[in-house]
Amino acid sequence: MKYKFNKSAPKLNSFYLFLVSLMSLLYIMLPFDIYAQDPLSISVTPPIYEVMIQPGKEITQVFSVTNLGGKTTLKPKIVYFEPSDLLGNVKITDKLAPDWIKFDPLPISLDQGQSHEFIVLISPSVDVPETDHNITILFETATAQDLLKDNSAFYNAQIGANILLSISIDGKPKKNAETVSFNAPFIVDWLMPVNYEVTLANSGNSFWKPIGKININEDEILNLAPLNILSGYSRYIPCINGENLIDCTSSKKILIGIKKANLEFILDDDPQIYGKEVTTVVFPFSLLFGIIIIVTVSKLVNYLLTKNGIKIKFK
Amino acid sequence: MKKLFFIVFGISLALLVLFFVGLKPRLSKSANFTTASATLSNSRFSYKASVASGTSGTSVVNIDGDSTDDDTNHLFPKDAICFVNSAESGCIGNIGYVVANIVDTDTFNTTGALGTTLASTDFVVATQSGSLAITFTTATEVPIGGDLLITIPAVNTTAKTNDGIPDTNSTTATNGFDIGAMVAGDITVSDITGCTSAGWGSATLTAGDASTDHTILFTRASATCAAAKAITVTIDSSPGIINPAPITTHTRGQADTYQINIRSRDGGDNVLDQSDVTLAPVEGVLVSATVDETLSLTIAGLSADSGSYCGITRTASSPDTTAYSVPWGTLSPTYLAATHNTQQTVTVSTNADAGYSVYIEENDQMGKDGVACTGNGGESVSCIQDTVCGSAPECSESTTKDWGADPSSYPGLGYSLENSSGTDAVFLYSGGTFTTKQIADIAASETRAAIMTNAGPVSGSIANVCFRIDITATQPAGYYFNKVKYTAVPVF
Repeated sequence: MKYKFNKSAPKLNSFYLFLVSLMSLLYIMLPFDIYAQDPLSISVTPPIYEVMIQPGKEITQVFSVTNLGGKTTLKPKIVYFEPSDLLGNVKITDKLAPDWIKFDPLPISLDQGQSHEFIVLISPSVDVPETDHNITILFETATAQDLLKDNSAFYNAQIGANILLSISIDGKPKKNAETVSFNAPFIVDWLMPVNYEVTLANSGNSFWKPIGKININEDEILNLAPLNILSGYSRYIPCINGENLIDCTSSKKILIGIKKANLEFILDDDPQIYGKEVTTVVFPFSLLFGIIIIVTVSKLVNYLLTKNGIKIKFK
Repeated sequence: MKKLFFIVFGISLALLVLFFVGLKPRLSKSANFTTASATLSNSRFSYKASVASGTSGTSVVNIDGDSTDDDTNHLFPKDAICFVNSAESGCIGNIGYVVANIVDTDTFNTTGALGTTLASTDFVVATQSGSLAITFTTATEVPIGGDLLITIPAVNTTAKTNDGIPDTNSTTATNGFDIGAMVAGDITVSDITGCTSAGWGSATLTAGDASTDHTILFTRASATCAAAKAITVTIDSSPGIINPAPITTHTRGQADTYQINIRSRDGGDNVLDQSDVTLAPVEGVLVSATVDETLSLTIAGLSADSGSYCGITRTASSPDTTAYSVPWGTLSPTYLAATHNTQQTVTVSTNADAGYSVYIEENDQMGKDGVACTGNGGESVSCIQDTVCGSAPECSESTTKDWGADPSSYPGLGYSLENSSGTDAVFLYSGGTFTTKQIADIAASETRAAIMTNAGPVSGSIANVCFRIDITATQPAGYYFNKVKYTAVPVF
């Protein structure tokens, strides 16, 4: 059966045309966000907070947590952490923060794009001892439920912000450092870069940052990265160039001689200077080896030529 | 009427054509700097309290509740202070003092005797100042003749924005930082390849007034400043920028937040990139430092039926994952690359200087109906064990081993990693055919292991997390599951 336009109903056809056009326009104007299969996406600001407070005082810090994925619920908790290595990575423990660090533990429901200001009140009483508290605020998403009973792994995520908290009565906690290692090769070829390895330990009562440099032959300066070293722990300290962490490598070359490197640093704004020295002997092994090869080859060639009675005349 | 319908139809059709050929009209706007942050070396509020009494020749000062700082809670021993009159025309007698000790909530002692008797209209101020570092990464090249304009909030009172006395007002919108005796020479810009400091020339510093904020202007005099350059503008600490006192409507214990606007412009003052960064002086502390930094973590599933991940090609048979689950479906004891491998992607961004790490852990091995998997798990306790990858030395949650192309001899669950953007994956599948680790089993007291890490700021580092499972024909039939958790934390 052929379909025929009904010429007797032009108004109806025009109406359909109008409707289709209107729907097309609406389609263009609709937002293009897709909500199915949304990723899980959360952020926290600031991720690290360093603070020193007197017992008996209080401070409030706001951490902003934002949900950039699909609707989710975040469950907050605050626990202690420990350094897990020499690089500043954290090992989160199950030990809860003391009760004078107060927060609202109720789950936070966030729609897509929504933020929440999570308030942490730190109010150590006057009898809280002078020590550091290294804690992490964790926001954990809910885990999905399986309705289909498929063999599955269910995923959730948590994001953390670290608080390095020092309790101090006078603002001058005991700060002390030990140079665990300041190493460089004893002898190197003149073409090889000289790498310096610095590991410092905090034997004081409060965390600090080393502010200092490696001064090589009074001719080259490598700046130490001011990274936090927690009380009772050690940390490998790289160097810094602008904002970038780099290996502490001497780039200036000398043919032969001694590279004397002095490590000097202070702890934050404490005037006491800590120092250590290492010496590296630079010798042109590669150059010497090259000369030996050239001489040996030329001698060999000369010997072979002489043995075979061939003479080369140089004019 | 009919004509109107056809006009509407015609316009709609034209719009549709334009839309589908990619000409959908969009709002024109400048880009954001890819990262931007500001760091105060001293983020403590300046202190400003109203004096009640203080007699010349004595060292006792009493304050009252007529100002935002209405007690001594945020004044500390050794703080440098001075007294100003109600017109705030400099320190009275040009004399500075030091706080000796705090007697109670409204009384303190100075280390030296007062040189003058204080009036009840006077204020005691403890100026808090320091350096300010503003860091951002260009998204757009700045041409010669273009400039960099940084706007720092100033109090809305003429002649008070740079008098060296900390400012306060009723709102953060009308309050700001005092630049005191700061001069253009106190401001530097980083010298980097592709965006040299010489190209910027010297800064132009303009103090704000009742209607304008402070501005710092660097004009690109020679050579362009390329895109993707990390630039730092630093105001040094001598004399430094003076933090405001709390606003008069300040809520005790909370930070007042101030926005610094950073923008790059072309020669015609059209904005190329811009971002607002937040500074939030805080009270109640001896020393604190907080940076306007963010750490973000995104987990996404994969449902594409093509593409290679960790050396495994996805097909229509590959399990589709979501951010919240990896549904293996009904598992066959016959291993097939397509059906026994699947992936998720993990994306991390942070402008934290020290970087971040992402860890992975499972609550237990996959247990039938969630049964606890004691010991090493396995079929005997109705669990799908974590693979050991091969003969000794085996893989573990901390040690990798190549699981090979056919994992049938060493069944179980494991994962591998592949960088999709950046180099943050802690190990790569390509160390072998499918270099693998176990997921750290918290029930077995294993330590959660890092899967991604970086010792500096990153913008959108992506790793593919590739999961592989294999079972034997003797695996008890049932519904197996466990829970896996990703944790992103900053490096301290």
